[in-house]
Amino acid sequence: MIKMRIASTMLAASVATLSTLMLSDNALSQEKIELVFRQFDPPTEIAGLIAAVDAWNSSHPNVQVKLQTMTGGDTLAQLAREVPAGAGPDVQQLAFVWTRDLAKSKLLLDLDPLIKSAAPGAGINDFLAVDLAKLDGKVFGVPWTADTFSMAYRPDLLQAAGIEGFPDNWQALADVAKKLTSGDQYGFCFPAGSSPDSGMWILANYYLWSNGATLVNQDGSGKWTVSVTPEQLTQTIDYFNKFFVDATAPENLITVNAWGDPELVGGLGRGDCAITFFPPQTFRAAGKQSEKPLLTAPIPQGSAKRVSHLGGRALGINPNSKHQKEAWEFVQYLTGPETFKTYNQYPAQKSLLSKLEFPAAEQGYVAMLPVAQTFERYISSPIPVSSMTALINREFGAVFSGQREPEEAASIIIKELNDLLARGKG
Amino acid sequence: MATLSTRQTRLHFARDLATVIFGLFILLLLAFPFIWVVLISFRPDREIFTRTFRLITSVTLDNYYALLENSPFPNYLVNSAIVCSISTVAAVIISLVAAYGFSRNRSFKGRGVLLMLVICTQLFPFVILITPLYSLFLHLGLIDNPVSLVISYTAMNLPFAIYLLLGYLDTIPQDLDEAAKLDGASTLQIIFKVILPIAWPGLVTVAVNAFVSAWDEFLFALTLMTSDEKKTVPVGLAGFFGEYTTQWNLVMTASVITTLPTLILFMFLQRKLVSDLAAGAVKR
Amino acid sequence: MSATVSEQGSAAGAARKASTSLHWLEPYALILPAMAVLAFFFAGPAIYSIALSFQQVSLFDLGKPNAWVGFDNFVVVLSGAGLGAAFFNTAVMQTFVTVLLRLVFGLALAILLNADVFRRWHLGWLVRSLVLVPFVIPPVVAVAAWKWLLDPRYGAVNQLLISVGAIERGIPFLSRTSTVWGAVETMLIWRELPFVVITFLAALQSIPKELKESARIDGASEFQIHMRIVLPMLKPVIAVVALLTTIWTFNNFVYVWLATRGGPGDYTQVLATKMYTVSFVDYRVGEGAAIGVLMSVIMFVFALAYLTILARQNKGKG
Repeated sequence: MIKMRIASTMLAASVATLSTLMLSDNALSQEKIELVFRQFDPPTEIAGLIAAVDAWNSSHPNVQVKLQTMTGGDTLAQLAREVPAGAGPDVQQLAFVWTRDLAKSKLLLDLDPLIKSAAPGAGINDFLAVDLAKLDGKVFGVPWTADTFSMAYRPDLLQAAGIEGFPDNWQALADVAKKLTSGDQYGFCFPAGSSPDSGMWILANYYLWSNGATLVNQDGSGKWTVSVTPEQLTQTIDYFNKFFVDATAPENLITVNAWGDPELVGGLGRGDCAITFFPPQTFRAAGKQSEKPLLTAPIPQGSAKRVSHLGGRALGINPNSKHQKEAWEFVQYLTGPETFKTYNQYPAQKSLLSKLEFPAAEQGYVAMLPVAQTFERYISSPIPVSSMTALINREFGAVFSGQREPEEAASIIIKELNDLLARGKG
Repeated sequence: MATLSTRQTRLHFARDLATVIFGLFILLLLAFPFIWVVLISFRPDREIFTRTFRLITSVTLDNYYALLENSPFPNYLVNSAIVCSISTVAAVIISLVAAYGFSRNRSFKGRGVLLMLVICTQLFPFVILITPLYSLFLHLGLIDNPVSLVISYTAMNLPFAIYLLLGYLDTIPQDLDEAAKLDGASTLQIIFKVILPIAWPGLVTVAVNAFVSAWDEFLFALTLMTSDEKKTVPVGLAGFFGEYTTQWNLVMTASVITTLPTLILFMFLQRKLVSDLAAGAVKR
Repeated sequence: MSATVSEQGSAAGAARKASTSLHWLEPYALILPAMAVLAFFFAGPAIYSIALSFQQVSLFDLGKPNAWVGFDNFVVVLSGAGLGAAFFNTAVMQTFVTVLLRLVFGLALAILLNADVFRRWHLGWLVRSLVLVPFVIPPVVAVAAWKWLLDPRYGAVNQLLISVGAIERGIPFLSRTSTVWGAVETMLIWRELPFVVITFLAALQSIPKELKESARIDGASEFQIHMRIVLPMLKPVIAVVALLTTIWTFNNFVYVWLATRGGPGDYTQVLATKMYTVSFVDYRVGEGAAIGVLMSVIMFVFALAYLTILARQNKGKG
């Protein structure tokens, strides 16, 4: 009896819900257009974006934009489910490195016709990292925000240890870290975790690239090979492992994966660490948590150059979107100067960046943005970058935790990179 | 019965006291991490870490204001509560009936196979199942509709529930069933009027497991509910973890708010963990 | 009076005779709602899962038809490095150890909390509610709370150990291979123990008090009572709990993933995290499905063996 009552209530509830959904759908399509815009940053980071979207909505009564938030890691899988099934948001925020993979699987709209009809900003070539957004010469994503990493540190702690200026190369960094380590304070903190998405990948590549090495390379004939040598890899692993060997970095960092981890973000403010490395948003968050001022400095240079990676987000349009023109207008708005008045990210356009006034504390980024290079060098290879990332992080973590020697890890990395290359061709 | 001497009374009291203290101590150990989470939720962002172990630091309600007033989190709580309650009730009822069928009929054709099939559903990792299920619900027009989650959670909880209730019902003697049958009761009446009151402890166990599993479920809630208003609590919680920063103070506060309704619900339900069976309902 | 009873008796008899012809349908009817829901939800997707394991599929091409590669995925998985270690981690470190500890501690705690004194002192509600606390905390928060508790500098565990002089510097439990499994197992057991406890608490209720009383009067000690009377009567429930928690723990992904992501290195990698990484990091969903199928086969064989042994034991009892 109870069962029947519950069953009929459920039936009624589902009928009611379904009919409301259908009715509301009808009502909307008759009067105005609703676009769905999906992004993946947490609510506390997007106050400025929400303000920009609200501004659009009040000035565009016939094209209303609904903001959806879904965490980044889940977004890719969700798109892979939704788009082939004919669903999905109209406009999607993308990480730079996703665009080409999504385009290959036809999960993004070819933007060339739209770009031709109404160029974004100061023209598509004013945008940074457009190479990453292209497949077969066609553009599938509009670079939206750009970021890179720089060193972040407590100037008062360096001063107290008698250090003038900021270490300019990697060896100097290691030396300075030793001077800065005493008691509960460690010299250099970095994400040394083994997770497939750990920040160790970024730091390892900075070291490799600045010393003229790169993991995989395409030779003249178009063949991809593993171009890093065992010695280069061993040297890289050794360099970072030394921080744990010398105890200038706390052993606990082996479990820290995210550069936004409280250990790092709060660590500077608490004085647990004197130096670490952050992207701009994380640096600002750290500044809020610190009573003492924080400064940024350029990434140390290696034997070849000073370099960091150019990362960021792009905007793509769903091939299923029924309102491509309106979606494109919204994308133009998002990449326009109005949005960046409130949205606190660096715009991925040279013209806008040159007009930007960087806060005094963020000069490290000013130094690195011009020399930052995208991960294009890996993305065009047959190996998914995420697999490379997982491999590097895993092996580095194995060395840090004493499971392997650096030489062994280096040879494992090279062997698996070769396996991945061989498999990627198939 | 001989009266106990004072010494024996004191011994009994000492043993009782020791039992209570020991029991409460273990429970406090179990509950300690949660107590710690509660304490943190009242701390300002900067004081989440302290170098020495301090139970009380400065107290602030900022985190709670931020969560309850300025965020959609209360909506998530409502969404979760509705979806989880309905699916739990459905799972309990359907599994009770099925478990009774399996328990009281030991030799119908296909019993073993069907039981194995029930277990087999447990063997598949949801991470792979979600893709065809998304398509299925999309074709039924149930994406972004809580009904899809209710169906999903009911289905996910049924196998555990059936097996658990089966094991539990097996410990309830069939004399009561026989007696009720002689009185002319139908099977459904036996299940709901005779067995159910006795089986409350088993039902509470199943309900607790079903509710908490549904409450904590993330993957399906993320995939099937795409618009922000329809999100459930775990998806909302995950939203605090960003690429650049994580709002740990909000996460902790959200966890406290999340667990309180569940805890209060169980404080009501736990009375039923004590059954009437022991009170001599069975007379041989 | 007797006339009415016999009238009732014959009326009931007649009703029973009428329904006997359809009586054989009854178990099927009772099971039908459950089976319908399960079939709708699992049947299609399960077949899809198995089919996926025989295809070469990238995560981005999930919704489309893909190439069939026979047993290739299985060959790659079975010959891949680290599978043996992942299997050992899953079967022994994650499953066997924690299930055993949960059964032992769960039973002990349930018997303790079932003591009459709690009812007499009106503490039953407190005790039964407190025991549930770990279970109501979402896994992501539980693991986060434990990670902080275990933090070498700020964690309560290390600070307490230092204050009693057991260690000098905080131990980074999750960074060291010697302690990381202990830490992960602790998190798992901590959060999952309450469920075992209340299941056993519920089962303990089905043991008539008179049985225990008469044994006590006969002079049996508490220990003997529990070993000879309580435990045997709980056997069906213990058996079910052991089976279900084993399967569920074997397939479990969250605790290792949230605590260590399988690290340091791949020291705590289990089959479920491996499946996740292969599918969502390497984008090789076909291979991931193959790992999933292998896990299912192992658990299927285990469940079959387990239930067969159990059925034989029950038959033997008569």
